[in-house]
Amino acid sequence: MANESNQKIGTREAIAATVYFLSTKLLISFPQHMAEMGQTAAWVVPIISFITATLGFLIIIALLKCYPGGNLIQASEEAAGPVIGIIASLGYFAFFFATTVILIREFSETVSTALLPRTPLSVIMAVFIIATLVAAYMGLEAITRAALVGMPLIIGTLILLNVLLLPQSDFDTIFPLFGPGLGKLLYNGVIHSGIAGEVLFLSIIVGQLDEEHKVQKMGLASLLVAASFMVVSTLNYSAVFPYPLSLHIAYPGYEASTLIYMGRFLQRIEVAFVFLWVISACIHLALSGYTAARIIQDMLKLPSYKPLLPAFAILGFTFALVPSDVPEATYVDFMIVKTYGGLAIFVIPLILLLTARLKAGSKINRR
Amino acid sequence: MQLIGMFLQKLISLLSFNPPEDETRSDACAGREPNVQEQKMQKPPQDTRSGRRRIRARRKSAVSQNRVLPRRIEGINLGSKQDSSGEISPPDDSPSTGKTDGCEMKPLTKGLDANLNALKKILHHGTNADVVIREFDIPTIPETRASIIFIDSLASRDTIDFAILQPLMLIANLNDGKTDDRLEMVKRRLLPGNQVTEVDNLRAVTEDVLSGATCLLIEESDIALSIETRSWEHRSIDKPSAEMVVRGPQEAFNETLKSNLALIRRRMRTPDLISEMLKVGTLSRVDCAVLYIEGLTNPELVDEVKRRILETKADHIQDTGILEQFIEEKPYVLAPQTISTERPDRMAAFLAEGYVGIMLDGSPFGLVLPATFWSLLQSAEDYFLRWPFGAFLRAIRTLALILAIFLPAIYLALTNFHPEMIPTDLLLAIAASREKVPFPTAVEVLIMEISIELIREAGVRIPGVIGPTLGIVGALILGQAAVAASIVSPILVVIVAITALGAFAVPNFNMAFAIRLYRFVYVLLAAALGFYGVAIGVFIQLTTYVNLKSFGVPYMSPVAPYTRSSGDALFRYPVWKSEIRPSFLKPQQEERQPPISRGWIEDEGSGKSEPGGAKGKNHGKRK
Repeated sequence: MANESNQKIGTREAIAATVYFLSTKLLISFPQHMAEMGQTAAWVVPIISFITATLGFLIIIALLKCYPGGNLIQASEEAAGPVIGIIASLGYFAFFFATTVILIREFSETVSTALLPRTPLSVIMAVFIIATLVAAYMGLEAITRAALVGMPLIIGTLILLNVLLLPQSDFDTIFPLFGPGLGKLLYNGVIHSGIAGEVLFLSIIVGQLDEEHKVQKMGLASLLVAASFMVVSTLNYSAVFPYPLSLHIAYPGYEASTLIYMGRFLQRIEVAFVFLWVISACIHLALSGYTAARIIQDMLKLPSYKPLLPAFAILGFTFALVPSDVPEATYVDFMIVKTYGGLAIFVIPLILLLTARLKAGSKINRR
Repeated sequence: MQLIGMFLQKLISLLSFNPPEDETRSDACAGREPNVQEQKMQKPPQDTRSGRRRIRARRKSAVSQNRVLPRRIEGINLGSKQDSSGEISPPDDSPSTGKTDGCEMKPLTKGLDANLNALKKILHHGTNADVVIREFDIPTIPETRASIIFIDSLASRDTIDFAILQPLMLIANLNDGKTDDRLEMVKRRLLPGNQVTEVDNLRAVTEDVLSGATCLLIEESDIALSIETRSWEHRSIDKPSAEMVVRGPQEAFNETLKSNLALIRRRMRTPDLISEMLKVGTLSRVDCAVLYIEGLTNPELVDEVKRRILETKADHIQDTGILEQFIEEKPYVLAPQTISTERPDRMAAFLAEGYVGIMLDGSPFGLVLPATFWSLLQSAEDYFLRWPFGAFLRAIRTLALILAIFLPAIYLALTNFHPEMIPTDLLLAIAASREKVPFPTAVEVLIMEISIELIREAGVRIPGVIGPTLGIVGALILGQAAVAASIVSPILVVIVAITALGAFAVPNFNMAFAIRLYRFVYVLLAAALGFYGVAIGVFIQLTTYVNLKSFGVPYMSPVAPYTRSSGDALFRYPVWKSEIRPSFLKPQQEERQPPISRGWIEDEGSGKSEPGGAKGKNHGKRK
């Protein structure tokens, strides 16, 4: 097996993986939380969040440009010294690890609800973890290529789902257009910029990109594609489950797919959609697990991330069982990880960028 | 923090089972190899490692002693020796030059008797009934003693009688003073055979004799003449049996390497088609031809193929099926990593694209390298038909692949876990048909799948014409009787029959085999976890496939990773749009044909009309 740090990934693979990373949360309780934040304007919240995240991503790119050849972990260390650098890296790690843990729980709960109501949750979680562990062990190349192969499938599924739901949609329900008011909408959108926090992934693997100089374009393209998925799907779900009903639908994507009716012969086809969602979830979990392990590898300058994976798998399994139920898990996800965690991962690079600029300025003055 | 880091590094080194650095370095940097006496005298150190680790260390040590520093090409370690010109030469102990069969690289002497005695010993003359040594005199003045050696069963008697012995024994008094060198005279004036080569050592003489040539030894000459007399009974060129087509050539390879090479050369009349001969098998020493097109095929790919063949240390390789197992990248993955073909036209087409071919004497199947997943779903006929038909066939075959792998698993998942997906009428029909069946659906599916495998295997093993008949009769009677006895439900017979048809529609035999095994895995996953299990299986298979490489080329190319190609993967585009060769092969010439390949169509505006009167359009032009 080739050394994992020698594995290079192409532009298409990087974009496909980032889009998966950003948009798979659409399949769980994301639309419900958007409805909480934006009421009838649930679909506007992701637009604001993604715009904020784009600014955050540009800050990260600016930081990376200060320290060419390194990734975000190395740039953080160089900008603020080893101690603060490691604290910053731990912050990034915490975001990805928490995302992984919560997604394991949420996806497993979705599978339990939709497919296997009588199978113990721990079995479903264990199978998920084993599958993603295998993929993460194979390395970034394998996961991103799997994402590239799966991308047409997921795009096709989303288009099909949205088109087939049109007969059930009532777009009058999206009014008033700004829901709780523009100010509140903007506030909610900005503080939930963490919903696009996974774009940080590109800055962690920047050294393994075939066309490293195109990282900014890759990030922006991924954010644009993922934002389109999020906005269109949230809009459609809002039209199918109008506010305030949408507050009580735990898995709008799944629930919406159960409504698809194409005559007496083709009905209840949600299982076919869940089939593809499981594959998407596996790709997402493999990516987040891999990224978390890579952050620790780079932070501690370890020769390989692979020995960390079994430990992370056991920790992930344990922590995923901590929330008592799904609402608690989603609360932790959206109210803590995606809010404070999300803000932190964009604010930390901003502070580091300012530090780097100050350092550079003082050097020039000294000369 | 540094302490934590050090602790974690130590922990990782313990977990990753890497041998200590000193251990590997002592093998790799030994400087010189100890001679045999030293080896005998040195007592082997007590090895306390476990069996697998010991074997691994021994392999590593063997590799480090035999190879020069590896050269990296696209993630491949090239370990064979290279001379100053960059040519790969076989390692010292490789089958083609080594001392592995007791036949050393000793030079011939000037004494005929000494040479004959040595050869008699090597060839076990006297015990070996078909080794013939014929001594005679060439009527020169003075007479010259000579001898020919050949294998009776491999050489042509007529050629030996009339093209070697007759001129040598009957044409006398040739000492006309033109040359004093008897060997030169014999070679230039007395041997009418079309291929005569000089050999100067016992090993070469032995190898030539064993491959059907006749060697002529002359008194006072330390060079022997190897005369082409190969002739043995062989099967004639027949129709393909595993890769049949309706439209297209109806010729298949047979067991004779020369005929096979001729079949390829007939289709590829370029001097750049190279067939390099190597020997495989330390005992059998079979001829193996590596085929490629000079100036087109990626030389690194050719080097890698040759390196793997040369470094294969097996005693007896009698078929490409065995060779394939020695040179493939990941033997534990079910997916075939080489393309085997019995069609010379297909081999020629692959060579024209930049692939490398391997033909082995005695094997009616050639190997094409590297393999990609998509190429295993393609058939020669796809290209012989017009593109819409070819594309349709590809779509049908893709459907067949999906059905062959997933249909029983989907049936199992639907009936056991998600019956709500089945339309009510169909669900009632299934329930009614299963009413009297005592087994759970999973057992029912396994019974039927195993029965189908039994029928298939029995059909192949039963001799003569009974085989196919038994297959049909067995399947019909068994299916009917199993349904009548309420062992299986009728709908399952339909499911299993469609699955079997799907597997037969897959054009590559190895791929079809892999599919049969994958099917069982998916049946078990579906029985345990329904669609969730199947989805997890698909994910793991997908990541395994995208991670797989065949001779350094990603298995899912050109889709993942995306590389430039003519789009000839799952779809089949018009031949005039296939302008480039697959770039994942890194061919030296990427352009296959110009953007306007249909040159007879003029550009718009040239004003020249076609014979039919219609104005030329811009078909075939790539915008």
